[in-house]
Amino acid sequence: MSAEADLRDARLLEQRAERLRSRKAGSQEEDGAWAAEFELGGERYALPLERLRACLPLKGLAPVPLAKRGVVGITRWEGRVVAVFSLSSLLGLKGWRRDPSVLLLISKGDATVGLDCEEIPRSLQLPFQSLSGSSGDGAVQALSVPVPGQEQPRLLHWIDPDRLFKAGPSA
Amino acid sequence: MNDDDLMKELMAAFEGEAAGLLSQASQALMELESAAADARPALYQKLGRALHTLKGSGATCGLMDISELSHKLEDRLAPLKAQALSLPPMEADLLLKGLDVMRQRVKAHAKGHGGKLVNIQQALPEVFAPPAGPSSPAGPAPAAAGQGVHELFDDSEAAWKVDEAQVLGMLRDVDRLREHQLALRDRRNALQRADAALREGRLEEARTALGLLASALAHDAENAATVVELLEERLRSIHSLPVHRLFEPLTRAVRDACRITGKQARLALLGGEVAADKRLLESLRGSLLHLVRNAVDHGIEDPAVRDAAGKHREGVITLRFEQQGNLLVVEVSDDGGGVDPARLRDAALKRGLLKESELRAMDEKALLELIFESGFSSKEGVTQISGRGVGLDVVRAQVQALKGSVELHSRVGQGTRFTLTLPLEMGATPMMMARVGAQVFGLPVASVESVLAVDKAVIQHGEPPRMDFRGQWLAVADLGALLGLRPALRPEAGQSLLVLQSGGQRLALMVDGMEGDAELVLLPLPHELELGSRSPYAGACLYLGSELVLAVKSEWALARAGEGVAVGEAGRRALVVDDSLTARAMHRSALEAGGFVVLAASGGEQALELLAKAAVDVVVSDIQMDGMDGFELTRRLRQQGGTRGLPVILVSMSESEEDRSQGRAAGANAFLSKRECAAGRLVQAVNEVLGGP
Repeated sequence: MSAEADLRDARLLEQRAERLRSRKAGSQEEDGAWAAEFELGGERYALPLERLRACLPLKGLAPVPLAKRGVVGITRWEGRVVAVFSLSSLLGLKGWRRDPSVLLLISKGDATVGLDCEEIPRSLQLPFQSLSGSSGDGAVQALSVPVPGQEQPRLLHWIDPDRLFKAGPSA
Repeated sequence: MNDDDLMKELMAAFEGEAAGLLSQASQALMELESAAADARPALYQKLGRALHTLKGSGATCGLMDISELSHKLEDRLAPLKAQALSLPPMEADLLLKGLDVMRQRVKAHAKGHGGKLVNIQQALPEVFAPPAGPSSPAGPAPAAAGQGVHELFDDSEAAWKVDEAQVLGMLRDVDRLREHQLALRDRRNALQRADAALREGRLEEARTALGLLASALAHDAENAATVVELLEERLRSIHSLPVHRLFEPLTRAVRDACRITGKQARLALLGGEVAADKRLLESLRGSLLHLVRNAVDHGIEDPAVRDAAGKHREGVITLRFEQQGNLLVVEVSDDGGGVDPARLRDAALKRGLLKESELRAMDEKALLELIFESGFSSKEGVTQISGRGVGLDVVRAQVQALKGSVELHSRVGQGTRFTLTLPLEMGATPMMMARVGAQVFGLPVASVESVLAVDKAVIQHGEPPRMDFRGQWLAVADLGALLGLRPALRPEAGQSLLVLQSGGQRLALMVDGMEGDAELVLLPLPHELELGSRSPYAGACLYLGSELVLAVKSEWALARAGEGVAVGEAGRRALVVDDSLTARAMHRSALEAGGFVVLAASGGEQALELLAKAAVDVVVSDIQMDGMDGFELTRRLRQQGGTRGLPVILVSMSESEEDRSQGRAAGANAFLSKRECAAGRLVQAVNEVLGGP
């Protein structure tokens, strides 16, 4: 990479940092809620971005024989053993389109738990009206998310991690 | 050093000394209550010495209230001591109360709050007044019955204190590590020289250099191990405390609880020499206090009831500590009436914790777990000690906050045992590594008595198979079957047997291979796994640098084998072959819901290995797998006599006609795409190939 390109990148990064610094506290809340969105079994799902601790390749899990249904295995993260669950199983989906290759680590109280996922999530800002207009009262709620330039909103399944683990795996 | 500094130093020394003396005095008092006549003189001597030293040291530090209080206690004891009389419980209550007041005063002086204390002459009449409160047959309630953790335990012991010798020792260790660092730099240079010699074709020189480097690295490793050991030892001496320091306050709690309830019980300690992190013990003492009080109030029966049951009138509460590698195991057990699951069910129903139908569906193990629910108490009403509905849920929460777990075992009429397992920050556990299928498990070396090959053992092929071990016939159990990984296999050549012993029982545990032993650090398993109080695992260890290995509890294996668990004895069996853990979990989930017993293999080779030993009704295999793929697996199954007609369903990501025709050509009975699995077609397809519903 040339020195000129280095300089250009550095300037760009500095501008972005400046923009983030100038963002007023609470402005995120005014705009909407940040979510981590991903595909699962052909549908779009999202969970609160603030709960996402890390996103890693799904490999090296140790299976846990006799564990309850939905447990895929255990892995080690930041010196601790973390339980990894099959998100499809917790959501009661019967199958999947692609073998999960991504491990999402999300916070659950003081602990961290893992969920398998088919792809690296992308961040998405959801307008508050989408969240307030949701339907369903379980671990997953259906949201209508407006798509810029399109009349029809798209469907997104909003996962409440607390309710998801409280409910446990669906048969 | 000015006068203030000198006083602070004196006070710090006195606080430590007084804590020890007060503890000795309390212990002697409690022993005197039940001591035989010939043991009393020595106990009075011990008590007298402690009080006399407190009096003198208190006066030296200018703490006249401590000196005066010690003197008054000596006066009260004098007539009893002169004739070595037995100590009446009410007198013991007052003397113990006097020691409690002294302990509180020492703490206040140490914190610099001595000026706020009431004048001792004014306080004395209240100290020796019989305490108010509900009466028991033996007299009024003792002062300490409602005391909390901080009144009973010595807080000064919870802090880390480092002396000069310890700091100097660690500085020497740092110097050794620095030498080690320099040595490693030399090794790197030597390696670079060897590399250069290799690149330039000077093979003999490279070989010699690498040989020297190998022996130097072996020496470095030994040095590093020595420094680690020394550092660990020094840190342990700073941050650890022998657990017997908890004994005196807990004995006091048991004694006072007995005085209130009119029961008779004593506390026994096993493993008091075990040392543990002071902070851990500090966090644990509230839970232990609750458990021993609970044992008196809920566990130990009234003397008359014990008499009628043929038990000794005095119950025994045993506190046992054991260090298992880097785990601290604490057991609080009693020989009382045990926990009755039926009473727990009634209590839960009465409190509206669960519906009747839910309670009826619960087995004994699940009912016992209710005891840890918030707001739960099976005892009618509230006593001074327990039954307030706050307790065991808090104990479990405290232990879980320490990354530990609590297990409950109870037998009606025989007693109750709480086992607390807590991780220690230092120390490694020697583990024997055994392989089952493709997965490696650890077993504590301490419980492995012997390892031998099946070919060398004398086996009696019955149900269960038995092995002759030094003249004793031991049951042989397959670890894979105990863990639900496969149907129980028969012992055959090539397999290994581990003779496990725990709690006086023995078992020959069959595994597929041995991987040697290793010193590993046990990490606690996350609570989210919800393995419950009968978890098969003590924790997980990091093995060979990165692999997490589950450590199987030997007592679990013995209990499980004793239950005669044989996986897949009933029902249709399906073998799921997939290199994706998630895929295996999903297929397992769907097939188990469809009534199948599911076995799993992570690849074609493992599937063939398993099928050579165990029969299944259907195979569901992924196509794309590392090593042998699904097509090849199907072809191999069709070539073997025993599996020629075994139904095989291939599952693929792709829906291409090419895959389907290749699958048909290989001999598969059906083909499903993962999209079709997503639509819930798997069980239907399996039933179709089996000609079932």
